[in-house]
Order: sequence, then C-alpha cells, then structure tokens
Amino acid sequence: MAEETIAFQTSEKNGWTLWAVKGRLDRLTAQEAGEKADNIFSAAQKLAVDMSGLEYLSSAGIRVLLKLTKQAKADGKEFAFVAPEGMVKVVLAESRMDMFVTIYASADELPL
Amino acid sequence: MNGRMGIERRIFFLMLLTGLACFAAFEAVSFLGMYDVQEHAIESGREMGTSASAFAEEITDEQAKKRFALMAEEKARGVNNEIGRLREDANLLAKTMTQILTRRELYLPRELPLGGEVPIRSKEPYLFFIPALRESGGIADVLPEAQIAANAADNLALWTQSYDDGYEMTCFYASERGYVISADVMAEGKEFVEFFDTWYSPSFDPRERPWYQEIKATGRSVFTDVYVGVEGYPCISCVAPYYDENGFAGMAGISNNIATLYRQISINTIGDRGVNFILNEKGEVILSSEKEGLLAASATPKDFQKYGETSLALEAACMTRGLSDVARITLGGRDYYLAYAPIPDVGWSFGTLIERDVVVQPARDAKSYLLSRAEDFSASLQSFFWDNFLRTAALLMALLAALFFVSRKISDRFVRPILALTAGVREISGGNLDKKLDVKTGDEIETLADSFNQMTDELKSYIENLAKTTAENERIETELSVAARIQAGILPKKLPARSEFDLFASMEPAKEVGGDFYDYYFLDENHLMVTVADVSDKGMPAALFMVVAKTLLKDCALTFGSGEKLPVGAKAAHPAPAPTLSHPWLSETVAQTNDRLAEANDEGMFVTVFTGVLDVGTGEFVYVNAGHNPPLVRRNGTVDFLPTAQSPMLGVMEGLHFPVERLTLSPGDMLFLYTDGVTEAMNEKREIFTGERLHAALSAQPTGKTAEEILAAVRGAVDAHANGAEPSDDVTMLGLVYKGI
Repeated sequence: MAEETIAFQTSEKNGWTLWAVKGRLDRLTAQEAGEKADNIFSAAQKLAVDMSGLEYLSSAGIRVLLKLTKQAKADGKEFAFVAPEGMVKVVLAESRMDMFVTIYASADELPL
Repeated sequence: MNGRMGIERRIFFLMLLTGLACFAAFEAVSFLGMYDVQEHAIESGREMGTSASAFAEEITDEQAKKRFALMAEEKARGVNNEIGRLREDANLLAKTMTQILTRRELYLPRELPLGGEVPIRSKEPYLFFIPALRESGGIADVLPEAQIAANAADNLALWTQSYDDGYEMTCFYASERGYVISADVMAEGKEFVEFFDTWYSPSFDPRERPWYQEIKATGRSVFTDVYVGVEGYPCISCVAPYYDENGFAGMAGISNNIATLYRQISINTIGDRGVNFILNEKGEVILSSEKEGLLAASATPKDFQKYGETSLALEAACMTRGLSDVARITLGGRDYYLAYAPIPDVGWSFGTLIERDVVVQPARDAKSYLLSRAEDFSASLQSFFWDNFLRTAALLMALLAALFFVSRKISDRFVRPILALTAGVREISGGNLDKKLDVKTGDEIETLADSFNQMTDELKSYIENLAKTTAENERIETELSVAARIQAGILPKKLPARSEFDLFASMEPAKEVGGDFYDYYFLDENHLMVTVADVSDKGMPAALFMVVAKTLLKDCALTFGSGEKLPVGAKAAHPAPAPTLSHPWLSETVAQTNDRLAEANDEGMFVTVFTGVLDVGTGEFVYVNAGHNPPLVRRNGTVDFLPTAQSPMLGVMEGLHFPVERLTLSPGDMLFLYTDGVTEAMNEKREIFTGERLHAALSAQPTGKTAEEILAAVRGAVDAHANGAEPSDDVTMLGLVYKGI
C-alpha cells in the first residue's frame, strides 16, 4: 500500500499547463491527486491532464476528474484531457466523460 | 524499602570503607615513616656517639703525640744545654792548664795551701798530694811543677764562683804526677773542706778512675756516671784531658750536682704513672723521676735494649741511636706513650713515659657522654613516637566517629531524592499521569526525574491520541456497519418465480462499503425493470447517495412508467426524445433522476447507472446506459458487450438528455449486468480481472444454466483471479435469462 503508485509532472504546451499523471489513479491515490491538482489548477488558466502515462482509472479517479471539470466550469477556465490510452480510454468512454471534457489524442493537438 | 536501605547502606558503607582505607593507609604510612625515622635516628645517634668518640680519641692521640714529642724535644734540649755547659767548662779548664804547662817559662811558682795540712775554706783553691805520692816521698819532685800549675788556681776560683748555687761542687785538676789542685764549694753549714775522712780517702787516686783512663786513651772529654753527692743529690762530673810538652798530663774536671735537672725531670711527669728518664748511650737509665722500680736510676743499671718487654727494648735501642719519636708501648699490661728525644752533646736520650689512659680518658668520657646522650635521645624519640601514635590513633577514632555520622547524613541526603522519585514513579504507575516529579538536585537524579516527567507527558498524549483514534475507528466501524446495513436493506427481495425469465442478482460489499446497488421490480405485469448502479464514493456518503439515487430512480420510473404506456413527452420537462425511441418515459425517468441528484450534490458525487425494462412477453428490452460499464448479452449462444454508454453518469450536471437503446431477446438469451468491482477485481500483483476475462468466463457457460449458476461461475472466475486478495470494491452482478412464454 505504501509503494508509489502515482507520479506527477507539470510542463507547458501551447499555453496550456500540462499536468502529467502517471501510474494508477484510484481510491488510494485519489486524495493526493486531488490536492496536487487543486494546487496546479489555482495557478493555471488552461489545464490539460496528460493521461499518456496513466495505467488505471477507477471511479474514484473519475470523481477527481469530474471535480476538476466542475471547478473549471465554475472558474471559467479551459480544461482538457490529453492522450488517454487503453483501459483509461475505455473507462472514459464508458462513463461518457467526453460529454463534459474535451479529449485530445495528443498534446500537439492542444489549441493555441 | 529494601531497595532504599540497600542503596543508602551501600553508599554509607562505601564512604565508611573509603574513609577507613584512607585512614588506615595514612596511619600505616605515617607509622612506618615514623618508625623508620626513629630507628634511623637512634642508630645514627649511636653511630655518631661511637664515631665521635673514636674521632675524639684519635684526635686526642694525635694531639698527645705532638705535644709529647715537643715536650720531649724541649726537655732534651734543656738537659743538653745544662750538660753541654759542663763539658764546655771542663774543656776550658783543661785548655788553661795545657797553656800553663806547655809554656812554664811564662809563669812564676805559686804557693797554695796544702790540703790536709791546713784548713781549707769553701771555694779556696788548694793543693793536695794524693796519699800514694805522700807515701812514696816523691812530693819534692812534683812540687815545682805543682807550683807552676797553681797559676790556674785563680781560674778555678772563678769557675767555682760561677757555679755556686748553694750546693756542693768542685773544679779540679788531677795531675798524672799525683797532685791535685782543686777549689771546692761546700754545702751550707760546712766551712772547711774535709780531707781524708770522706772526700780524700787514703786510697784516693783519681788516676785509677775509669774515665781518667778513658780520656787519657781517647783524648776527649767524658762524663762520669751519675752519682749521689754528699748532700744526697745526684751529681755528675765532666772531665777533660790536658797536656804538657810531653803529652798527656792529667785531667781537668768539674763535678756538679744536677739537682735542677733532676727537679725538672721529677716534677714534669704526666699522670700518676708518668715517668721522665734519661737513658745514656749504653741504654741505661742514669736519671729518673722514679725513685724505685723499673725505670729508677740504679747503682747497678741495666741495659734496656736487652729488656724483656719487647716494645720498651725496641724503643730503647732507638733512643740510644739518638732518634726521636713518640711510640706506644706496653708495660706490665698497660698502654703507655713513650716520647723521646736525643741529648746530642752527651749521646743520651730523654724519655717520658705517659700512661695512655690518662690521655684518652677525656675522649672516652666524651664517648660515654655521647652514647648516653644518644640513648636519651632514642628513648625520648621512642616515647615521642608512641605518644604520636596514640594521638594519631585517638584522632583516627574521633574522625571515624565523625565519618560514621557524616556518612549516614550524606547517604540519607543522597537517597532522599531517589525516594521521592520512587514514590512519584509509583504514583504515576498507579495511574496518575498528571503527577509531576519535583526533584531539584541538579544532578543525574533530576535528569532522571525530568525524563520521567517527559515520558509521562508523552504517555499521556499517547493515551489521549489512542483514545481519540479508537473513538474514530469505532465511529468509522459504526458508520461502515450502518452503511452496510443501509446498502443491504435497500436491495430488493427475491422475485416470485416466473416462467418467462430467470433472474438472479448478487452483491458482495467490500470491507468498506462501495455504493453498488441493483434493483428490479415490475412496472406492471409484463414489464420488469432491472437496474445496476455504482456510486462513485464509498462508506456512509456513498450509501446515502445510493439510497437517494435508487429511490429517485424507482420513484420516477413508477411515476412515469407504471400501469400504462406513457404518451411521448407527457409531463416531460425536457426536450422530446428522438423519434426512434419507443420508450421516451425511460429517458425521462433517468433525466429526472439525474436532475434531482445533480441539484444538491456539492460533494461532486455521481452514480453510473444501467437501467432497462424487459417486456417479458415479447423479449423486447429498452435501456439507458448512464456512464456504466457496458453489460454483456448472450444471443444465440454468442456473448457480446453491449455498446458503450451513450450517456454520462448521473448527478454531475443537470439538464442532460439520456437516449434509450433497445434490443430484443429470444428465449435462451441472457443479459449480464455488473459493476467495475467485477472487471477491476485485482490480484496481489494489482492485475485487474478485465472485461476480456469476464467475456471469456461468460462464454464458457453453456446454455441452460440458471442465472444463479452463471453468476456463481463468474464469481468463481473472479475469485480465482483475485487469488485471495481482498476485494477493494463491491462486486455486483445481475443475470437475466429470458425464457419467453
């Protein structure tokens, strides 16, 4: 349980703050991810979650993403997902997160 | 109390023992030191006494020898002068007569009174014919020469004057031809010279005397033996030859007493047994302070060089050889010094004999005095030593007593904080964590007390924390069990068996309630509504949200769908569904539920829902998938996933549209609804079960199996995958096998 199952990295791309989440975003890591995200989000105008390194996404993870989505909407900020792969892509599709958040296949596609 | 006494007693004994050891060591060292000093002092005192006295004796010996040597030399010189004058004068007398007789022509005959015929007064020169000449009648032949020789009479008178000191003495010429010219000094009270009776006896003939013969033979002056004069004083004569033109003609002589000399010798002896004596060239005593005994002058003198006492004989030989020395000799078993010096003019030797005891007695006295002083010193030192020892011992006892009491006090004072500490710790261990140890000793005990206080504080806060945590855990446990009961309570009861379908559902909650639920109920006789949902949170909030979602959904469904087919758009608050959909009320039901859930959902919770209605008569199944996992359907023996959800989960956003989808089931077909607790069941390697495995597991189930059997099989596959890992989410499944009429 103590092993690191999630890692974060922040960079800039096309004027977006690109927040890379690597590993597993589940109930165990949800709180940490939520706090990290809040910090980053408060300073960013345009935030994109880079999911290329995300291996697992549970409903708790979806809830974190949904909260960010709501926050973005409330603050009038832009929010997007970048490059979900595999199971994550499936989960996002099954839960129809695409109905709330724009999903880009890669960071290059982020609009300027 | 045992411990207390133990420590106290130990400290007490430690101090006492240390003190004792110090005292004993001190006492031993000082005792030994003092003993050494005492012994050394006594020994030194004795040695000093002995060596000092030996030194004194030695010094005395040296001094005595020097003194005696000087004395002997001085005496010898005195004697030599005295005796030498006699010899000188005798020679002068002889010289005068020789001058007269060798130059007779220069002198006139002179008349002298004839001794024996007329009275002769003292100091009056006279002529005397020896008895033998008288008898032979040769006086006439001799007379002319005698009258010429009488010219020397004045000279004689002169000499007698110079020698007269109240004692008898004589200056004389004794001729070879038998006459004598003499001047006599008589003893006091005697007016005239006595002839024939005492002095000039009838047999008197000086020419027959041995020294007359000697000087005649040798031509040198000579001393006679010492003899006792008329007056009882020792006397000695010195005689010298005189000559006429024919050679030896007679002897001139002076006979004098040596009383002065004798007196000097007699009085200046040292000690009772001291003897002064003069030894002549033959080794015979001729003058001595001793009147009787070995060293007395005697009429029959003995040669001491041949004396039995070796040491004396040896020294006597040295004396006769004219040597001087101070020797140690033994006489009659006594030690003596013998100091002697030569009297060169006569070839004699002066000797003085001093008993050694007399000389060294002061040194011996000094020795015994020193020794007695040393003894006194050692005795006083010894008494000082013992006094000191006793004093030290008394002091030691006093100090020991003091040490005893001080040790008690100190050990008591030392132990008191420990006792306080012990009592405090006992109180704390008794449960009083508010107790603070107050020990201010400034040492390790205080540090220990502080540590105890700190430990107590930590223990207290730990216990408080533990209580808090326990309460929290209990709260959570309670909440969980309440949530679990809520969850279990809202699940529908088993439906009465119907021939048209076989339905079985199961939900296994995870340890922490996940928020899954399933539901089924008939809207009317032919329409069976089935739902599987998954709330995004866990625990109590999820359970409550679940209750709300389930209730809303059922309420809306029953409101919009029960009894009759609702007209499209009737009571709808939302845009009309697409015309392709034949069950718009279902869309409305889900939309309504979503709106209401989203209305007051500050927590951002959501629920994925798959809900659908089966017309048990026709097998037609209409459904809405709101963000839920796509169910599987088995049709004609083939298992497929239904298309992924067209709608998002409920509760996120109001005003959403939920399109209805449909499919038709034939008898034998099966629907399999589930939550992600199935597909995402993990083993210990965190590998999820996956949809693929679920698909495979379902495909493996032969047609004809009941819903319950199929669920059990899937469950088995999931368990096999998890391999004992505890499920982290509720595992919910619903199987619906359509049988038809």
